[in-house]
This record gives sequence, C-alpha cells and structure tokens, in this order.
Amino acid sequence: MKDGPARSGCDRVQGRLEPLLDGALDPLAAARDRGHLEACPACAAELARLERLLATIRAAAAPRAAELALARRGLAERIAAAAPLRPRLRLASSPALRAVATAAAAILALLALELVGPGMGEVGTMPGWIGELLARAPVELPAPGDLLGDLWGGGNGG
Amino acid sequence: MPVTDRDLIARVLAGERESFHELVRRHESPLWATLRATLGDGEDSREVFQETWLRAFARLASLRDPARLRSWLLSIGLNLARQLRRRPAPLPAEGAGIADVAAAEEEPGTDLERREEVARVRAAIALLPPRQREVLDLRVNHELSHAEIAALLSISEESSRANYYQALRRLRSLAGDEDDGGGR
Repeated sequence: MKDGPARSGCDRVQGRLEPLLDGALDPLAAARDRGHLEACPACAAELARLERLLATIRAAAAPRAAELALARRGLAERIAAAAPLRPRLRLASSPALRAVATAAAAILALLALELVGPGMGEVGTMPGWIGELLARAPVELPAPGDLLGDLWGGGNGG
Repeated sequence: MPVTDRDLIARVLAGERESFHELVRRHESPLWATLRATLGDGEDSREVFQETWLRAFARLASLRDPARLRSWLLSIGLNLARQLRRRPAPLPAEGAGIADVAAAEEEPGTDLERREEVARVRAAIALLPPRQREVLDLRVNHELSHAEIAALLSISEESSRANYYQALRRLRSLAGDEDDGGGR
C-alpha cells in the first residue's frame, strides 16, 4: 500500500487509463502517466487488465458461423428478386455534358451582354441582326440563369 | 491484382448482380457484430441485417466514395436499428451468459477458461446502456475515430468519448468484482 504523493499518482493514472489508451490525453500528461506506469507494478497490472479486456471485447464480437449463417439465410434470394439497379446520371460527373453546358452558358452570357449592353436593350441600339429579329417578332428571352437552371435539371434526384 | 470493393461496386452497377454477394461476404461479419451488439442476437438483428443489405443494393449508385462502404453500411444498419429499437437487447437472465457460455463452448481452438471469459464479457456488454454498447462496438471492433462515431450516431465527439470511457469502466469494474471473489 502506498501513501501520499505516490498513492495520488496511482489514483490519477488508474482514473484515466481509458483516455490514455485511447490517445486522448495531451502529450505531456500521457508522458507523465507512462513514466508512472513504468515504475509502478500495480498500475501496470491495471493497464494490462484493461488491454486484456479490450482483446476480450474483440473476441466477444466475433460472430459465430452458425449465427451468421442464420442471419444470412434467404438473403441471396431476396437480392436476386430485387429490382434492377438504375445508375443515377449525374450531369456534373460527365465531362462531355459538362463541356456542353459550359459552352451553352458562355453563349447565353454573350447574348445577354449584347442585349443589355449600351442602351439597356433598346432595339435601336442593338447589333443589326438582333435588333431586326426582335423588332419583327418580339420574344421574351428567359434570363440566362433560368436557362442554366433548366439545363442542370434543378437537383440530383436526392 | 486483388479485386477491390470499388471494382465490385462498379460491376454490380453494370448489372453483374452476383458481385454483390462478394461484397456481402466481405462485410457481413462486422455488420452483423454491430447489429448483434445493438439489438441482441434475436430476430430483430436478422431482419435489420437483411434489410440493410437490400437497401445497400438498391442505393448502391448513391454511394459516392466506395472506400467508405463499411461505414455507409453501418450507418444504414444503425439507422434501421434505431427505428426498430424500442426495447433494450434481450438481457442475459439470471446466470448471465449461460446460453453464451454454452454457445462459446462450441467455438473450437480456445481453452475453456478463455471462452468463459469471452462469454462473461459478452453478457456484460449486453447489460450496458444501448448508446454505450454502440460506441464501444464502433470504437473497439471497427476502430472508428470518435469523430466518425459522432457522425454515424449523430452525437458529439465528447459524448462519444464519454460513452466509451463509461462503458470500459463499467466492464472493468465488473471484471474487478469477479477477480475479487465473484469470479473464479
């Protein structure tokens, strides 16, 4: 039986063996505890018991073959009967589609600049062919952002 | 060149359904161990085990990082277990772990004393509060970090640590009681 400071060292170390083994102590505290463990057989024995307990927990978790076989029974048939998979198409993950979308966005941006440049979209100030087109058959152009939103499909299907 | 999980997943997504069975074979043991630790080894665990695989199959295309297959499966299984769990795992009644001791004796290759020790710890784990049991399993058997456990169980890292240390202390004290006379 130890007394005084030595005993308090044992209390400290044995009170935090779990965080010590878990690597949760700061390096200084861990080094101090390791130093104590090297010099104290009683605390070293406690640490060994904890390490053995962890090994036993792992052993206890190992499934028994019969148990697992029972859990697995019928699974292969259920998977065979499951609906076929439908791989999800992600536009962002396809380089070709991404390139098309980027090009379309650039064209739309240029078009928008032409339309809202000097004169803020007045027909008279637009380049000839656009002005003529709009003057003959006025159309409402969607904002480039809307077009992009449509193109990208508004989500990935969750 | 070994076939990786990534290869197998690509094959399954390409329509080769048989490759899914290899994924099951690779990951069924840790998944089952976790479900058993969470729900006990009764019908509930078997049901959730099968449902986990069926959902994983149906949603395989949504797995973005094949390297995370294991934790993805665990998160599906634990979510299903959470939905199902309204009662604690079946308690090993008086003579705790008698069934486990009997079952453990069937396991070849280890001495009787060790097998009984394993059975006692298994029974003691079943008596832990569910959250402590989950965290203990994920930390010790899956070697997940507390950050990963926190994400899986929707708890804080501090809570993960606290549950883990409490579980170990409880098991330590039970083992100590046995060494002090309760055990053999």
